[in-house]
Amino acid sequence: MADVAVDASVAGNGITRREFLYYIWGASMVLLTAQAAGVLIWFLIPRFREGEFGGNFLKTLADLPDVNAAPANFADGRFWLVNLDTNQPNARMYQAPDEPEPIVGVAAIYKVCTHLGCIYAWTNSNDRFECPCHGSKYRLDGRRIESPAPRTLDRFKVYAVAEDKTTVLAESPLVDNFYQPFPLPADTAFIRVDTGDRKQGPSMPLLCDFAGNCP
Amino acid sequence: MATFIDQIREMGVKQAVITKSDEAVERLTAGMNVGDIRAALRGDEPRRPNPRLRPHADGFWLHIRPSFYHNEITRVYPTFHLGWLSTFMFVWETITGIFLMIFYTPSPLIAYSNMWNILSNVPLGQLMRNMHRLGAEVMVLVVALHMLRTFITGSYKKPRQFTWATGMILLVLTLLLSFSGYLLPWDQLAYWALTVFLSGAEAAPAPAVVNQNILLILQGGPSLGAGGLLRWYLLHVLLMPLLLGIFFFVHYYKVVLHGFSLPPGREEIGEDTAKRVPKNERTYFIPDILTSEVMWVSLLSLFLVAGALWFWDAPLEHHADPVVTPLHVVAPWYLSWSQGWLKLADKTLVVGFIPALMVAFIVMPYFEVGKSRRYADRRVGLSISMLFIAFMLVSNWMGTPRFRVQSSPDLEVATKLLPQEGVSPILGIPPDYLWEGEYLPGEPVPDNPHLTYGLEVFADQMARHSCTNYPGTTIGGITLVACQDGDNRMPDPYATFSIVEAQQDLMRLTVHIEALDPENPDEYLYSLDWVSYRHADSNYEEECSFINKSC
Repeated sequence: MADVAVDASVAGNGITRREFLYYIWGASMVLLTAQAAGVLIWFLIPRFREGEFGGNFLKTLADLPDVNAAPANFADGRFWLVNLDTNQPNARMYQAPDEPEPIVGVAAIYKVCTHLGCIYAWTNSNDRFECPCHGSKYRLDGRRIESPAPRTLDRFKVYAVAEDKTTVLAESPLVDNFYQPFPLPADTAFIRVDTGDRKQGPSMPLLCDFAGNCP
Repeated sequence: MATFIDQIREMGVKQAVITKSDEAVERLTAGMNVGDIRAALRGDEPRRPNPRLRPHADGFWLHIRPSFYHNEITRVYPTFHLGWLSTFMFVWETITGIFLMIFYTPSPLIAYSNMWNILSNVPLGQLMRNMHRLGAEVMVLVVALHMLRTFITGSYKKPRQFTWATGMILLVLTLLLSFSGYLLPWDQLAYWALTVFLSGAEAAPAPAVVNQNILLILQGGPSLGAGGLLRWYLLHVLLMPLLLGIFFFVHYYKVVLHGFSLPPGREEIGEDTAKRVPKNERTYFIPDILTSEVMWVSLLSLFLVAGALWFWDAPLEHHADPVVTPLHVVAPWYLSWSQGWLKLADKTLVVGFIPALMVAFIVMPYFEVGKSRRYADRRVGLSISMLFIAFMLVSNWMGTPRFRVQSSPDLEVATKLLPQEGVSPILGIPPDYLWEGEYLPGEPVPDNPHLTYGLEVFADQMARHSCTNYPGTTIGGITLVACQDGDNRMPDPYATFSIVEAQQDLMRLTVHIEALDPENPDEYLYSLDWVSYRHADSNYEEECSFINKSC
C-alpha cells in the first residue's frame, strides 16, 4: 500500500488502480440512483383500471334536447347532449364565417373546461356555456366564443342504437381526430355515449372575433 | 464527589435538596445555575468564566445560535425579526397541525364530516383549526416580508447569495405547504382550488406525455379523488415539512456562518464586517436576545389567538362536488397574482413563467455586479424592484373578486343574494325574522329591520343590473338607467323574493327574476327562479358577525 502511494506522488497525474476503482464504484452508485428515481416515478403513477373513469351511458331519445335548444346535462357521465342544426340558426347555434358546411346532428360534450379543468355551466339567458373560473365562453356545440380556453370543448363518441339496445345504426364520424355531430337515423331508439372514448377539441378562431365583441 | 446521602449528613436535608436542585438546573441549562439565571435576569455582570456562554458551547438547543449579536441588529430595523417569526410560524403550524391530525382522516368519505366534528364537537376544535389556518396565512405573509426586506437592505449580496437561494426555496415550500393544506377539508373551495392548480401543472411547457404523467401523479387518478386527497395529505404533513426543515437548517447555518448583515450604512462599500463584532458593540444572547425573541413570539401568539377567537373564521364551504363548480370561485389571496396573470396571458406562458421567475430570483445575486449595499448606490435595482412590486400588486388586484368573471345579470343578482357558497345579507337574516310571503325589492317590512335591509340590498342589486326603456322607472326607489345597445343589463325586469316554510324549521328562499324581450314581447329574455334553503339552526347570522364576511 505504501508503495502505491509513493508511486502516485512520483507519477503526478497518473491514475492509480484504487482511484479508478473508486470512480467505477461512484459511477455505479449514480446509475443506481438514477434507476431508483425512474422506478420511483413508475411507482407513483396511480393504478386504475382502464375505463374506471367513464363507461357507456345509454340515453333515450326523450333525453335528447330539441334542435338548437338548451343542452341536456348528464352529471353521471360528465357530459352534455346537444342537438344541433345550423340550417335553423338561432342565438344558441349558428354557422360562423369560417365554417363552410352546416353543422347538423347530435354530439356529446365533455363537461370540463379546456382551460383549467373547472366545470362550466350553461347560462340560459346568455345562450352559451360559461365557465365560472376564468370566464371562457362556448357556443352550444362547444366551439370557443371567448378565451382564455385554448380550444374547443372535448367530445365523446356517440352511437345511435336501435330498439334492441345493441344494434349500432350510426356513430360519431371522426374527422381530423375529432368527433363530429351526426344526424340520427330514422329508427334510432337509444343514444349510447362512450365516455371512455374522448377526443380533444381543435383550436379554432374565437367566435367573438367574427362578431367583433371580444372583451 | 460526595453522594446525596453524604450531603444530607453534612448540611441537613433542606440545604442538601437546595444544592441538588441547583446542580440539576445547571445540568439542564448546560452551565447556568439558579444564581447565574437570576443574575442574568437582574442584568448583573456575569461572573468569570462567563456562565452565559456555556449553553451555546455545551448545550444542544443553543449550539446553533450565536452567543452574541452586533448591537446594530438588535433593534426592529433592519431585520424586523421576520426570520425569527418565520421560524416560529413553522413551529406553530406543526403544533396546531398535529392536534388537527388527531381528528382527521384523509378520505373523501369522511374528511368533510371530520371537519364538522372538529368545528362543532371537539373542545376548542374550531379555535385549533382557526389558529392553524390563520397561522398558515400569517406564515406566508411573514416569509414574503422577510424576503422583501432582505432584498431591500441588500442582504442577499455577496457573500450571502446561497442563503438567499435557500430562502427562495423556503418561500416556495411555504406557499406549497399553505396551498397543499387547502385540499384537506374536501369542501368546494378545496376541490376547485386544487383542480385549477393541477390543471395548471398540465399546461406546463413540456411534452404532453410528461405533463399528463405529472398530472396523474399529483392527482392520484384520472380525476381528483381518494388517491389525490391521500397524496396531498402526505405531501402536506410529511414531505413538505421535512424538506422545509432540512432547508431551514441549511439556511440558518449560512445565516450564522456569515453573521447577520449589518444595516447598509454601517459598512464600508464592498466590505462585510458582520463577523467582526467589537467587544463594546456586542449584545449577548443570554439574556437580552433570548428575552427579546420570547417577547416577539408572545406578541405574535397573542395576535394569532385573538384573531382566531374573535376576528377571523377559517372558511368551510359545502362538501366537494366534482360535477359543480360554484360561480365566482377565487384563488387564495397569496396566489391571487397568478389568477390575474391567467386572465392576461395564455396558461402555458403563465405556467412556464412562474418557475423561470423563481430561477431568475435564485441566480440573481450571483450575476449582480453592484457591490454596495447602500440605498443610494442601488437606485436602478431598487427602482426595478419597486416596479416589480407594483406589477405584483396590479396582478393581485386583477385576481381579486372585484375583477371577476361576470355572468348574466339575473344570475349575478341571484348569486349575490343567495350565493352557492358563503353568506349574504339575505342568508344572514335571523330565522325568526324570515316571515313567509312574497316581497318586492326595496319593500319596507314593518318591525322587521333584517328583512327590510335584505330587500334594500335586493333593490340595489337589481338596479345595478337593470335598465329601462321608459325613463323614470324605479326599482325600490332607485331610478334605472336607460337601456343601450349591447349593455349587459335586464330591460325593465320584474323581481320578487319569496319565503316559504318547506318543512318545520326549513325555509325555502326563492329569488324570481323575469324580463321580456323588448323586440319580441312574447318571449322572456330573462327568466330565473333561484332557490336556496335556510335551516333555523344554520349559523349564518353568527358567521356574518365576523369581519371577513360581507353581509
